[in-house]
Amino acid sequence: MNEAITSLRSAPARVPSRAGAGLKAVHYQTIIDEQPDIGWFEIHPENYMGKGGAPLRYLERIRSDYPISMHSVGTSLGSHLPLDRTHLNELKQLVDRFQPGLVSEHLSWSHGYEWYTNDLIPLLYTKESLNLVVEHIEQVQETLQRKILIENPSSYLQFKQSDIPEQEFLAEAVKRSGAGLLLDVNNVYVSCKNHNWDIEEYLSPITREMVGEIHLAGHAIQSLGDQELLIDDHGSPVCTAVWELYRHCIDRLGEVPTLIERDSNIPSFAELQKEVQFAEHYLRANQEVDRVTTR
Amino acid sequence: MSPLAELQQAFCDALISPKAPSESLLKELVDDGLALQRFNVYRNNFIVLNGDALADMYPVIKRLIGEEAFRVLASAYVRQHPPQERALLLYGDQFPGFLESIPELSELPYLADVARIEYAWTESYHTQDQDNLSEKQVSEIATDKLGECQLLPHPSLHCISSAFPIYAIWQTNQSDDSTESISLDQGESHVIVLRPAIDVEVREVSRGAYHFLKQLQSGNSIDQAYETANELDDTFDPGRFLTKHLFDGTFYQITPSS
Amino acid sequence: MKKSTSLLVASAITTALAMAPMTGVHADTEKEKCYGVAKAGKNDCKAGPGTSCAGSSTVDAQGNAWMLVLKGSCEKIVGGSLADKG
Repeated sequence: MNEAITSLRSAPARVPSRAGAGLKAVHYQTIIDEQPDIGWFEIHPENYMGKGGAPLRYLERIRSDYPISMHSVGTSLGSHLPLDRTHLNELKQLVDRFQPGLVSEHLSWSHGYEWYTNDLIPLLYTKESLNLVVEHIEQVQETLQRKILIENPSSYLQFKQSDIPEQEFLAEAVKRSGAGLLLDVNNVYVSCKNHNWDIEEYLSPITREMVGEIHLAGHAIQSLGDQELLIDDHGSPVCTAVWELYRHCIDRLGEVPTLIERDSNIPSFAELQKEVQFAEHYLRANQEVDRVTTR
Repeated sequence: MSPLAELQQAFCDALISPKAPSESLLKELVDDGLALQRFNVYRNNFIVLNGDALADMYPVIKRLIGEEAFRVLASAYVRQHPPQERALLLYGDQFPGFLESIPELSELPYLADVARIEYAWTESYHTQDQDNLSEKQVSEIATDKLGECQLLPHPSLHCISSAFPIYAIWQTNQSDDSTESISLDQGESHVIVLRPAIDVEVREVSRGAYHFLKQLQSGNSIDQAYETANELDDTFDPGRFLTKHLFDGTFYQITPSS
Repeated sequence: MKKSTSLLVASAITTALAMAPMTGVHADTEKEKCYGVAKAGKNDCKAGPGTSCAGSSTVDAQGNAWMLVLKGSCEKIVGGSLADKG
């Protein structure tokens, strides 16, 4: 059985400068049967850390047709505790086996004690944290023997002790560790709205060289009295404001592989694919402009 | 302790506690009048997202006690047993024992054993792939040595026994629309869960077959396993059982005793 | 070990071996395009219900003071020790 799966054609590892989609279990069979024209898929490696069975079989099959990216949620780069060696080794095994074109993780933490929150909690932005995050990114890169991308988080609160703006912290962490940046445009929008940050100011330290991937997703809006809090629930299509911000970002950053993330209220694959095509339309328009201006 | 470690631990204390976060933590948050609601987003994430993972593993328990009671129990479970691993694939391993510890559930004495089937299902789903026992492996062993051999059940095998008809309860509650009623007077039930090839299978077996498999799983010889099974269930017929199951993926290896 | 046991076990296995080609009991490993039940992954990076939910509020300030209202298919499970437990 395994032989039959691995003998299929194998897609290249490199993630192209196209739009991709988050890989959801409900879409596995459609993707295998219909072979949709999608640039690449992204997975959370933690969902494939079982020892065997269906998830790995599906991934093996889909990887043979498409490049993939691995977007980890479990390394907890910003935790004061050491990285979990077992988890890192499992990540390394998956990277070796499935050869993802990109590997990424969040700028956040998820354990203060030995137990794990299963959530992405914002950091204290201080020099102490920065040194720690850089050290942890370096350890991950060393284990995986490759560069990773770090994603800007969406957040709902800030700590008073923070004395470095998030975007500068992120840019500095990326520069010092030799990592790249995964720019989540929806997260930029959500966090800027939630904390009254200026979007232009947030984007200012982010350069073309840093960014290896872009994420897009939908968010929910909750009213609290006369104020609003945006919740990054990945539960609806990308909103108009975020599409506009996306266009603005690719004008500045060029053709960057772009992912549509959807984690709740998951629609049919055809519907998700429409959003992916929409992103690709923006990317192509940008390529046209690039060609004209460089001529 | 460093300010970072102190803050992260205070944050985790507040996440896991059902009480309002401490004043000292709230003082650490930028306050625009919404600091508490902002913090609550994280506590809700912690309780609800991990509760969702639990609900995903225990759909039958959720049907049995209803969505609302399940949510209440899941929140308490998440606080008592927060995830110990970063991958949530097997989150919920302590849930059967936790159910047994809840006094209000004592009138549903079968609940924990049904939960054990559901946990076994997920564990079996993620177990390593393993080729099944082949006829060639068996035919290479001299007939008079067969009884001394170890016959190893598939690594995905789980054996669950209960004083209650847990197989019928589990089976009947596979979908929301079952109206069948079950009498606990049906008595004990022996269940095996395994993934011989692609899909996880849940089977009800006789008491003898259950003990035969349990003995084999713990590494005893086939002879020993048969004697124990026969003592506990004199209707157990190894010929019938093995003709049906020796090569159907229930087993993966036969090894001569050392 | 009793001699009768060894004989019985050996005969059970040799019977199973002889019957194997006829019983069609082999696990079906050759189904094409079949990869099994696709269970949704449990790790992702979405946020939960935000500010509007029961995550904090089902529990009062004393902690753990919840009420359990059992309203599911357990109502259809009857008899046995339920009566004894009263």
